[in-house]
Amino acid sequence: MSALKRREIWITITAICGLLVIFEYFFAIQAAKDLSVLIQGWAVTIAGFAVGLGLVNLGVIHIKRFTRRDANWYLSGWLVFVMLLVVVLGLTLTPSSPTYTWIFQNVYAVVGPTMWSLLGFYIASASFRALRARTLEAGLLLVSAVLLMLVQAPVGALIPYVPSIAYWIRDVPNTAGMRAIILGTAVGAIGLGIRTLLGQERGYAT
Amino acid sequence: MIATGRVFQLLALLFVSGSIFYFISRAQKGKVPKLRSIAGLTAIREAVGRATEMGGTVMLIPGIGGLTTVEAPETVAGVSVIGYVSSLAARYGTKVVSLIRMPEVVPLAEETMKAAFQKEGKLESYNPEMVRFVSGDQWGVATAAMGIMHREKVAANIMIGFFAGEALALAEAAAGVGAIQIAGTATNTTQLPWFATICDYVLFGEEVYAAGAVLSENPQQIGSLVGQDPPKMVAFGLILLGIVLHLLSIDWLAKLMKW
Amino acid sequence: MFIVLVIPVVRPLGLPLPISDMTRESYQAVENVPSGSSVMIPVYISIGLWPEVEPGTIVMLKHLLRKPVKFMIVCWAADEPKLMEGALAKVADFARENNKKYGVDYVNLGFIPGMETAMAAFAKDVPATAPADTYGTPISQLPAMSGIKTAKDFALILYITGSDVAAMIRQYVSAYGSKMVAFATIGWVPSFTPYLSSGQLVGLVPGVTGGAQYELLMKSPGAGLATTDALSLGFIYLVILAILGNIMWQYTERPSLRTKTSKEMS
Repeated sequence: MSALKRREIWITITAICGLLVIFEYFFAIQAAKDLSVLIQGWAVTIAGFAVGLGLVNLGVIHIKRFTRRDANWYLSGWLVFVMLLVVVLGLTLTPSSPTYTWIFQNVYAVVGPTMWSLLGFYIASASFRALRARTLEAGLLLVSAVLLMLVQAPVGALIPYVPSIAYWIRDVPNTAGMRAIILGTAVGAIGLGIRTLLGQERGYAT
Repeated sequence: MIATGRVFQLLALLFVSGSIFYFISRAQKGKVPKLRSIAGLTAIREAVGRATEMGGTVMLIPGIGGLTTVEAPETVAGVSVIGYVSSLAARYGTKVVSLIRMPEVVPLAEETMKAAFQKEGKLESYNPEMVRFVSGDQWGVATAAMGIMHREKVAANIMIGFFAGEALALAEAAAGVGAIQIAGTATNTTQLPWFATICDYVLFGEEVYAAGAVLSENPQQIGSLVGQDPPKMVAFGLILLGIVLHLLSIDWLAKLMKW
Repeated sequence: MFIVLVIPVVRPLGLPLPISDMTRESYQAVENVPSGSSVMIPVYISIGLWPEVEPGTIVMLKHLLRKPVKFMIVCWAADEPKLMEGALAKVADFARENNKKYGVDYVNLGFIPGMETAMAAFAKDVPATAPADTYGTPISQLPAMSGIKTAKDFALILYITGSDVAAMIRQYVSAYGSKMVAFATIGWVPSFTPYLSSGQLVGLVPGVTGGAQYELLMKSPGAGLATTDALSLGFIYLVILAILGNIMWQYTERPSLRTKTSKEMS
């Protein structure tokens, strides 16, 4: 059993699966494609279990808080109760049932956007307080932000010259900068992949 | 044998991988490259010092990303920052709290913070409550952070990792309590303008990965980071060549890239 | 802020709405889908951002239901099957008027876990990755899924997202040459312009504004058009705040100006 715990075994399995999927992408070999489909199917199944694992993890942490009477323990208790209620309803009545649909549409689908709507007030506060033209760069940021916000307002797009300048800012300097970032992220992702396949990625191989 | 239209992609992948692998190997043999100093990293010490003087708390948020997606390098960088700041906090006796969104990051953050306290010989000061898993929802983390900033008198807010829409709310809330702020994100650049306007120091893109590599003192991470430079330089050269060829109405480079 | 946003919703102002090229190109891309083709609608959006893309999604579904095409919905996160179920319920009458039936003309395949791994697996082998719809019906019993094997079998992909599009571009556009239109939240538009200019995205419908413009093109007013007045005033309010903040900063906090004012007063 202790032999199975050796990280070299798991790193080797990861490397083989990863290299096979990469190989299949570049080489048109049917056997490689069939194996790749099988491995990716396994990965989807594992990801499904990971969702359940997240649920269990969350439950364990909040049950511990509830039983130990940590700060705001009653909120942890409420969270566990609601979580179990929705899981039981989903499993017994199915997610298509009117009761489950009611909870989803009238509680969950309302609370989520409500939390996001907090951002509107923070944006207003940030617009007043933070968009200050202290330097040349900050001034350019302010002008770009003002023009692009104006053009996002449907009626703002009717102001003369604003759309052409704003769209130029969006389509030329912004696109150039974003391309550079996309390239950097792509190369960084390859680096992450190599470190993962070599078993050197922290958090995975420790 | 090679799938149609993927030859150039394969050659590019081999070149990028080869470069990264070469520099990782060099770093493992002791030839660790030097990285330029990053203003945000230098400011971390100042931020922790300020929090200590004010008797306030240092808040650490290593982003809302996990360890299994494209955001993983940013999250790892954020956790490296947790380790560094925890060392400083242990040394100066400053209160520190870290908020985590993804459950799989919690054990890594706890282990990193504990190791930092242990290294400073202050293991008895470490408390598992310093790493708090508050919610699996990004807004749950944001609202918890906002509450903690007011209740626990956060004097320094260090947010390095992957952030989404809650970034602005976090930065504004910290600005509201007068905290010094150091923020950085790499993949989700839509949040960078808010960090740039509100925070005192910002780490852009690659600087986040560099911060993680430098603070973790991990030669493989530094080697991997430096190994990404040659491919970027080649990409830059290809872009310049492409511009010239396009102006001359020559399209062989475009055809080569589709080979 | 609250007042500025609520008043136009309660009492619409009827402000004009120009249609952007992005939305027009997206509309045209859907309009040009050949008869008898299949369209893929992948979804990856958090519940908090759903109200921003919902108007565009509803009118896009109506557009597809109006045409002799089939479509299948696939979700990359757990919340989305119920959200899309709600959206399909809102267009149910429209579907009946156009003689479209669930299972025959459209399908909701539900949630496939794994994010980019799921995207890649689905693109490579649709039946193996999604053997049943969200209600558990095997796809072999769903005529809408007949003939769908890989990503190459979709004439168009309409990606509803509140996140980055790079993963879908990698797994579908780069790998299979698929055509894709993104229905994205406004915040992601600057990040998607490189893909639009390179042709990897053939269209982009930005948030509520794009949804409202699409409603105008479809001549089907809905929630998008109802909120554009609020959107207009909201953005103008933010611009006013930014300008006002700078004016006040110039006259209160900026050191050289404060000194000058003190000297003038003495």
